Amino acid sequence: MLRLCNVKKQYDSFGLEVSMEVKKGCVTGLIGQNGAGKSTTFKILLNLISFDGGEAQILSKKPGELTNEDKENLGVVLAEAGFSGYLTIQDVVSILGSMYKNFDKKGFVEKCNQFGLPMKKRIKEFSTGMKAKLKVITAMSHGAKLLLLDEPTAGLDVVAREELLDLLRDYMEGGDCSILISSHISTDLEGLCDDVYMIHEGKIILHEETDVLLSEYGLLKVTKEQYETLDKKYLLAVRKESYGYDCLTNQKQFYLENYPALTMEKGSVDDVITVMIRGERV
Amino acid sequence: MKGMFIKDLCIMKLQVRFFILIVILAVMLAANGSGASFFLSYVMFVFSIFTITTISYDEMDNGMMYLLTLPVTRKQYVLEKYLFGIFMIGLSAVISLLLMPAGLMIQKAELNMTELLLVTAMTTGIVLVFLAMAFPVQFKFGSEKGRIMMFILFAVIVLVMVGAEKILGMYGIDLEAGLNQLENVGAGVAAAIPLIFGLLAYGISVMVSLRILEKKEY
Repeated sequence: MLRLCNVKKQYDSFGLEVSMEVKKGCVTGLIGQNGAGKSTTFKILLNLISFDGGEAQILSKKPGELTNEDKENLGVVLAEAGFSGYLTIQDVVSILGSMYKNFDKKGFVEKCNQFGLPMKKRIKEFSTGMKAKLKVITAMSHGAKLLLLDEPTAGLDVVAREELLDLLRDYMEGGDCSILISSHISTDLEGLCDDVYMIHEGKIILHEETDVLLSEYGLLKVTKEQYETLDKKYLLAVRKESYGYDCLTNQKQFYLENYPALTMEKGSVDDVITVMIRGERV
Repeated sequence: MKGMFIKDLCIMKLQVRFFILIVILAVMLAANGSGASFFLSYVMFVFSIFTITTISYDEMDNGMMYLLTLPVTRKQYVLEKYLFGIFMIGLSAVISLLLMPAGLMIQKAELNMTELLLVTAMTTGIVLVFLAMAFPVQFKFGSEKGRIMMFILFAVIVLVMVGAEKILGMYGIDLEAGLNQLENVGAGVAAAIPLIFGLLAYGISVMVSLRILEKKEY
């Protein structure tokens, strides 16, 4: 559905170079800190900015070649942009209705009611959560085959986040679609994505299937002495701690069997990120 | 493109009271003896400037970026704005032409239809030129910087015009007399000249804006 191959974008103080792929029927997560390059990646895919090198493909075309028909197959949420705050949902209904052939007006209005979004109030008067829900409902309103969601859960409380993620799960059950979703909140992605890419300072530092990440990645907590004797063959990154070292491995089983005395924590996306970013890669 | 037009109408809906106020104010001024031409130019200018305002609305909170992810090409976005501009000029001209006779009646002045149409054509031309300059500036610099750039642009134009008049004067060419000559060419031609000039500027402006937006990074 979407592929980036060594796509480069150079700003004065920031450079991006990413390769990634979203397969048909998959939910792929893009996770990274603020300013890691997530939004830049989305902008390249949507032809909002140009790129300096590499190859980008979306719906089997270059971003600059997307026609309006292609764009009807995209549902987009941008982190800090949406319809003008001066419009109401009623206005949005008429606008979307005249833009998308497959706009599901009934479903859209139903969902807005379900989430308690007022039809006649200006969007700028909505709460952060209401705005975020409206954006996601809008992206899902016209049967898009590919959803590009940049930080759809930013600024939301736990309950609102879960509601949004449920919406996305429902959408995936609908059929043959794919999602690229970015977030800096890893738990959002653990329960939703088939695979995740981690981006840091403009570069992809890890790509792994979520299942593998959760089952085979682990965090070894060792003292200085234990670290000296440890077989470092399967370590990905190491971070110095007050008690010794946190070691990230993608072969949890190896260490569990060979060093049964060591403390091993189950891997989580958060652990992986912090050790990968703040630790030293081995 | 239709969707974008509907969006602009929705935004315009927000300002309906403001528009009505402007029209009432203009009728009052006209009835007070300020003259028909003032009424007309005032209404037409306020209405057409609103087209530029819709771009500010679009740009608010990065909204422009989002609009371009919808099934609208950059080209269509630009063309829609220029069409909306024409729509606003048309709308304000119709409103003025319908209301002006009323204003003149209160004033007990005589209604000179030829003069009325001539003033409409002149104003349309001026408004077209104004929009032709304002659109590219707005697209290039955005609403904040755009406003400053428009002031600078107008200052430069006024300086150039004054300068040109002075220079022509030095060579013994009297611009004012030349303009007065225009009145003798007949109402039809006098109305056509500003219109053609305005449309020409508008057309060139479309191309400039298209280029600006094609290259714009968000």
